[in-house]
Amino acid sequence: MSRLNPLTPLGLLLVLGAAVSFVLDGVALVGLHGWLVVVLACGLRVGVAELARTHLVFVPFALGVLMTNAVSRSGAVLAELGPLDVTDVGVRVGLALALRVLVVAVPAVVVGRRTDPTRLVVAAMQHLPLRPRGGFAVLTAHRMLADMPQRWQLLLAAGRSRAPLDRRGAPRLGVCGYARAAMGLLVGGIRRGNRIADALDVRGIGAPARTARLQEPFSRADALVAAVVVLGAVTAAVGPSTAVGP
Amino acid sequence: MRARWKTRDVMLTVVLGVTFGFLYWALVQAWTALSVLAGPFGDLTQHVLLGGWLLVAPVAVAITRRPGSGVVAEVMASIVEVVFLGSPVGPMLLIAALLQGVGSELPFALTRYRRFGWGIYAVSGALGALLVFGFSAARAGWFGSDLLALRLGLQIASGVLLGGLLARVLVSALRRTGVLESFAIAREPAPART
Amino acid sequence: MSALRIRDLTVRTAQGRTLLAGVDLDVDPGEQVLLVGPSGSGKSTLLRVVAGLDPAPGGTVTGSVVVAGQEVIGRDPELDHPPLDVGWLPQDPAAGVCLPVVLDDVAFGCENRAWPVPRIEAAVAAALRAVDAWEWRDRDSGTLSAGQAQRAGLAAALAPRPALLLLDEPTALLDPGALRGVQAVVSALQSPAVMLVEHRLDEWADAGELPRRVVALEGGRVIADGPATRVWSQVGPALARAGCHLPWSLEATLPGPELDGAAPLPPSGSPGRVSPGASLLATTGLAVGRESAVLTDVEVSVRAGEVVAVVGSNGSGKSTLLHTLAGELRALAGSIDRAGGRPALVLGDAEQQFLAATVAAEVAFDGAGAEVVEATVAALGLDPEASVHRLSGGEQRRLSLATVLQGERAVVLADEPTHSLDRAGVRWTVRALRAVADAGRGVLLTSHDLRFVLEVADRVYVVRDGRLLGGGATAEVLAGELLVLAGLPLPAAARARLRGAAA
Repeated sequence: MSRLNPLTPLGLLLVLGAAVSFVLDGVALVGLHGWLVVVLACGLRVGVAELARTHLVFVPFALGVLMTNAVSRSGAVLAELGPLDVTDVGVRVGLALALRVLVVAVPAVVVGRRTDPTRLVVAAMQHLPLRPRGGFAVLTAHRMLADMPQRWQLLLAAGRSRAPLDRRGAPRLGVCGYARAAMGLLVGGIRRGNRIADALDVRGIGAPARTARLQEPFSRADALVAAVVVLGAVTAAVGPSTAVGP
Repeated sequence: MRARWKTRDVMLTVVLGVTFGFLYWALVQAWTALSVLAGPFGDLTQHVLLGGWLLVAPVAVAITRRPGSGVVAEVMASIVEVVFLGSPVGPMLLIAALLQGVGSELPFALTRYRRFGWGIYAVSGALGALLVFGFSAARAGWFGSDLLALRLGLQIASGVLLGGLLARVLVSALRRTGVLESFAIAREPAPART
Repeated sequence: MSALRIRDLTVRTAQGRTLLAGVDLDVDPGEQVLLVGPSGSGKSTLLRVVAGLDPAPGGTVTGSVVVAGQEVIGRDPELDHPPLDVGWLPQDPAAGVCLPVVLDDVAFGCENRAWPVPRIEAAVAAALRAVDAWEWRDRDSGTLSAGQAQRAGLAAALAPRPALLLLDEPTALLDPGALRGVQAVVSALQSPAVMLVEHRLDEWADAGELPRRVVALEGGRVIADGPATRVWSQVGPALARAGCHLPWSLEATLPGPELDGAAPLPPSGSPGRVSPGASLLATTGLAVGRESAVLTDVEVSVRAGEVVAVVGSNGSGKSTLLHTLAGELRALAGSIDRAGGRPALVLGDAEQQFLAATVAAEVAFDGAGAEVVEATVAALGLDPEASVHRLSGGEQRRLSLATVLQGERAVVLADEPTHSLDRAGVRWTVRALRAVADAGRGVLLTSHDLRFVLEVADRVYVVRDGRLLGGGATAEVLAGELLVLAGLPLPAAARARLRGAAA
């Protein structure tokens, strides 16, 4: 991935997401997902453990989609759950939608984790209409995001430090405490954003002409990878369906 | 005079996007919990909480008064969700966020970023919810499902409450903290405290 | 051409408050100037104006400020180019270095001046070498220690070769070792003129030398300008009374009670039934850390009625220890006996601690009664309806401390309680913490300010190589070798005073 322009994998993900939006065929989705897992495992050297963990994160959501759809569509009744009918159409559509969740979400998270923010922003400033002011603001925000879990913990610690204690001597923060912490996170972020904006202004972020020291050109590798991934995806999606027959 | 984005406006919009992206993650946790509780109707809980996802756009617009700030903040938040926190909707969330942002910002744009009453916030939330509903419905094949009207009703109500009226409450709370002094919102007289 | 020429600079806020009134100042190329004054005297406002930033949104700025031939007033920092010929290192390390990679951040200013790439590469390398940061140029800036971050920020400010360098308390968060690192870079500078706002005058002087020229501000006016010795003799006592940080040797000649004035203290909650001297908090074989242990075999105790300090360098695990004792982090090994119940924690960054919008609401957050709230607000001398986020750094620090002290938890853990306070604020904090101990509670604090530790603490622990050592009486520990071994030498003036007291 270090040899690709960071916009290439991201563009592929978008194309994939858009294309899959029109697919409700379970077999095609299984084939497609298999191909994507192969691309991630071989192309990006993603380990089995990481792939498994990433899948697990989305399983509860996928199951929810399956269940709701199974009982909310008209079709031949397969089973009765109290007042609800599980239909064949419902199960088929639900399965396809649940699969679609995995197809779009897993590669997005895996690729996202491996995208270098600086390279991505540099590429976007070079090839997309992103101006330096916005680009560098996004980069500074990336650092703020990295600090955010810690800031959140500090705010909660401050709340627990002053909250009333329950009988066991543990602090009770309550929903209100969390809401205040969320507000604190927001206000603190705005203050810090103001300070960073000042620092960027002093350093001349608004310059009409600036040197782009870093470059992210597209290369033949980008075209090659894009072609292989897309052709493979089409084959994997269409192949099994044709083999199985309508 | 053309409204020029200052560095602070850009930073604020981006900061709002990132912070809400992070807080949305908390909302996702609530959503997961709620959908487990709701059993087979878990999928419906997304409509109840959808308005929360619309919140950032009207907040950004109201503070900076810059055309496009709502859309940018909303898309930033969705990038944070997809790339860093992981979203089951995947990269299509970016498109959904774009639609939400456009829907939420449209009422403010039509009034030339001059009116910020309760009504316009409510319309903003409703419009954002409606636009993203059309998108989701097409993707998930809700048309023809028994629950279409219920889904739509829940989603619009949530948009008005969480994505519209709550935004106004939040904006006035932020204004009272005094951290918005250098933004366009500070150039109009403070509203009476309610 | 002078590096800076200020004539009749006046700044008023939108509310009509005067921040600067008719300031005149000249700084020659390469000259280094120390800017002193009590909090609210206009030091930061002056630096902001010179940096080309709006010091008061909606307010007015009149007069003339010329930096290396460029007029600053009326200039739009976002439209007029090239950028001003200044480098600026703000207090917040996160604003000093804000891009993800150190090297990119240092190159940023040069890129904005549209220099050709080879010139940028050369300037960046020179700046990184000057601050001894070349080794970690490719590091993620979020992983730097506070000292490294300030040095990288200094490199970023220096790389475009500015005519004037503005340093706003660059060492506020640093341990003495890291301070020496920053100080060494600044005093070795040949070319840019320097305007420095700095509170840690003794350590700065011990590390090398302070700028010879001192400019004193009070109430937005220049009240003295000249060689340090002359300024101290002219306005030293007046500055001390106004709460300004001064060299230790100078302050020692002034009467203490007069400096403290009659500033009221915040009320201290009562810890309930605790007998004096009873153990409130004690650990056995404690190991603390977030992922891996940074401190092991910690044996620390806090008894009712005492103030205990922990000193150590940046990143030695002091804050982690406090958060673990507070119950916010899991102990990696060993045990904690919280006989005094769950401790209250004062965070190192005061602004992180606020949970309400106004001063009054913040004070009342823990459900304190109206009388307590009133007493605390009065002790702070703040408008109860003021927004907590618009207070000065020092006011925020005192508010965050007072709200915790007014509570009833028997143990108070305070992380750097004097950070960003002026000297009057430090003395107020000493009295407030002593009052809390006298009420039968116990205090455990961390601090880089050894003068403060000497004044407030009964006992001191020193962190060295992942262990917590010492724990004896303050004067003994501070005068001993342990401190030097831990890389925290006591300022020369303090050493002399301790020896004098012992003799």
